[in-house]
Amino acid sequence: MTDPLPEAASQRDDPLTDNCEDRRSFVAKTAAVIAGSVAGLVPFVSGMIVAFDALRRKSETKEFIRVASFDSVPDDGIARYFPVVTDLTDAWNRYPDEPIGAVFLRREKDSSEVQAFNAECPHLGCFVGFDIEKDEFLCPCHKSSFYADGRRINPEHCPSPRDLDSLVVDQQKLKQGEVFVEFRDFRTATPHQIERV
Amino acid sequence: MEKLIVWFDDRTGYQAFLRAVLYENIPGGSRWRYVWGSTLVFTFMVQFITGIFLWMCYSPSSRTAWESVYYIQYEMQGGWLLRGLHHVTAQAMVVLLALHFVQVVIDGAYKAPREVNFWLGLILMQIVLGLALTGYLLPWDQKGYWATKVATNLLAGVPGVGPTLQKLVVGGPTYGHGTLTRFFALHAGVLPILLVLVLTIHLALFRRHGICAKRPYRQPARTFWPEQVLKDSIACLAVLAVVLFFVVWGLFEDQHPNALRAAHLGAELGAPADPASQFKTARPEWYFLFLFQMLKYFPGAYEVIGAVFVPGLVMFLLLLMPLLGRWKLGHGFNVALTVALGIGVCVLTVVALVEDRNNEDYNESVRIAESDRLRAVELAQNPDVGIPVEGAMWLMRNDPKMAGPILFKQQCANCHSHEPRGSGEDQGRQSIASQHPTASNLWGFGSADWVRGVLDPEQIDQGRYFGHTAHNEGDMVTYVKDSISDPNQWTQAQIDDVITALSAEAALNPIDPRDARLQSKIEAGRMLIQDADRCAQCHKFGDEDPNYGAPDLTGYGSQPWMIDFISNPSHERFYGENNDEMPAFATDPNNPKNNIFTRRNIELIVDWLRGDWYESKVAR
Repeated sequence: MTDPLPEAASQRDDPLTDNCEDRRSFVAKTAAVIAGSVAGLVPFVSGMIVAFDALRRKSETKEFIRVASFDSVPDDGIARYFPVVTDLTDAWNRYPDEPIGAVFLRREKDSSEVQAFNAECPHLGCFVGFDIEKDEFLCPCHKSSFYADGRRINPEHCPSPRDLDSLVVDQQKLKQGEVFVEFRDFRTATPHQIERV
Repeated sequence: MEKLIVWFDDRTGYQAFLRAVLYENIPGGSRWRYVWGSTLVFTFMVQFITGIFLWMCYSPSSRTAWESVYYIQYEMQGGWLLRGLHHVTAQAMVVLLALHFVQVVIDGAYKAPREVNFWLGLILMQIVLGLALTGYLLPWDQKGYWATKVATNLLAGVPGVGPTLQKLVVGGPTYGHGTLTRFFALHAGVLPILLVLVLTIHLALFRRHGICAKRPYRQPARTFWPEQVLKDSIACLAVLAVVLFFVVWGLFEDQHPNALRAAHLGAELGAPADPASQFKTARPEWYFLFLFQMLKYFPGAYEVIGAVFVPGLVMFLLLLMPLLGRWKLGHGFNVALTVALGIGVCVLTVVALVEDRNNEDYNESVRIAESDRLRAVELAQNPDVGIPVEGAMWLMRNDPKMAGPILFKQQCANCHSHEPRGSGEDQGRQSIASQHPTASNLWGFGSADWVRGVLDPEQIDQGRYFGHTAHNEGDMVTYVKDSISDPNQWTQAQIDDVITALSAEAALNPIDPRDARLQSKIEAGRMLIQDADRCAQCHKFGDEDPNYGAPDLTGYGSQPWMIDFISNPSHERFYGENNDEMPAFATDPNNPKNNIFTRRNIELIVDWLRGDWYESKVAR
């Protein structure tokens, strides 16, 4: 292993700095480089095209999804955890009724308004938990904490760059006693909500 | 023979090659301090070999990854050993890498003419960390899934190209098959090939420059073979011994039942990844804990500083080391930087560990995660079911013991508790306290103990039964207090017979048909329940139907009875108009979307309340 390298170094002057480099050898060199590159690049590029297919995949547009009945969310201010269940496509598989995420639902005392939050921490995507005694959300990963209404408790020091992502609740369905939520998935670690596409 | 050797050497020149490899000059003779590079090559060989064999058994997809790793760990002979070797050696590699790096910096081995080789070393370090990161996901268990989710979300924080990069790595907008196929290709293909390429150049350059010998020389120069090779081999054996110790560590802890012994050997396999679960113990592998801890200190908008810029700056400073080393103070700076980084990493790691240790919530979550992962194995080992095509996640979601508490918490625990009386052993997630109980505590519903409480005048108006409800003012409480407590109307033997008969309806435990005494008690109890002057004043039992707005006691506490009750407690078979506050969870059998619960969910809750789930006999 030691020998060939110094040898190669000592031979370096000859072919490259040769002054009698004629046009034919220039053409030959250029052609060699092009031919070699094309031969090498074709498999690589065709691989990359397929690898970049991931960018074409869009998250499915989710309409309002039924999450719970109105009765399941008593007006006690406690945020309750509900999985969001709908059809899910994972590459070549399609699953009916698969949990694709989760929300917290909550109702203030004597209010008929249902608040809905995506359970994902806007920091890096762990699911937050609701601490009933402290009446606040806490992320088990990097300790972001939020008031029960989703606002960050200490925005200056909270690892999460924004408040919990509140979701739209279908008011029409709510009157019929059902909680339908527009389940949206936002990018993490951004100060403003940017939907994942 | 000699002729043959000459012939072969003439065609290949292998002797010159061997000479070059083995007879490298080592000024000052062989030393133990030169072994670290070799141990790293050795650990890589171990990873390469064990990795290929694991590859023969692994299937990357979100419905087969956990399942195939489970099969390796629990079913294949020596599977836990192979996985354990691969897992622990990966950690040894990171440790050895750190040692190798520190030694190179302290000895100044990064200085001219070895700059390029130092940079190659840094690239190798990145590749090894990349292998660690990608390998963590492959079992598709909870910790791998959630840690990778965090890691790839960090990637999205890279300014500009972040989100695109994330999508490329994850294989689309959501985690799934594509994430696994990609991570596996990176882990078993791209990164190892890169590593072999860079390592080859690294070693070639190392040979070109010769060893960075430590002065003063202790002995005259020697060649690599045999003394240094011997020292290197012994060091590799020592590394292997340490690795093996951690792999088989579980053998020395004897409290584990045999069937689940593999759960404590080699590498841990968590519960299968569930994207909709609240997994509260997501942590990276220990050598990434310092990064994890650092993120806690960067508030929202400055995330990218902690996640991208600080590590980037550190890597940049490391790259500059050979250039800085040219100045007089440069070497001192480099050593100081290395020491400072080492201390920083250690402090952050320790703080992360201590914070977790002192966090009761975290510890509770660790216990739950542990029982979940053992439950997953127990279910997978159920000889009557096995793992269906839908995967282990299906087993978990359809297991009353796992799904029951989750569903109960969502829908029932607003009013009902499910807590054992008195402080027994820790029931983990099986014990659920309602915050504002307005209904009964359903622990042991339908059992003899439960029925005894219902018929006890001291208990029936307590929180465990009707205490929180409108029924506390109802006829049942009055009857228990006035009549059942009156020995002239109800003897203790009669009450006992009713308890026996009614709890037999639930069929929670098998009843021995040959037990004549028990059978006669049940028969006597049934007569009392059917007595129109006693229970049947209000309750239906068998054919008698007083239609009085009291629950039908036929099959009381049995699975079908409970399913029907939960579906609609206001049905005339149950409370009718006397129903207090309990909602009907499934009134519309034809249109499941209109119901709060699917039939399956009610079944899961009922089976869970009845304690009717699979338990491995071996594990017990």
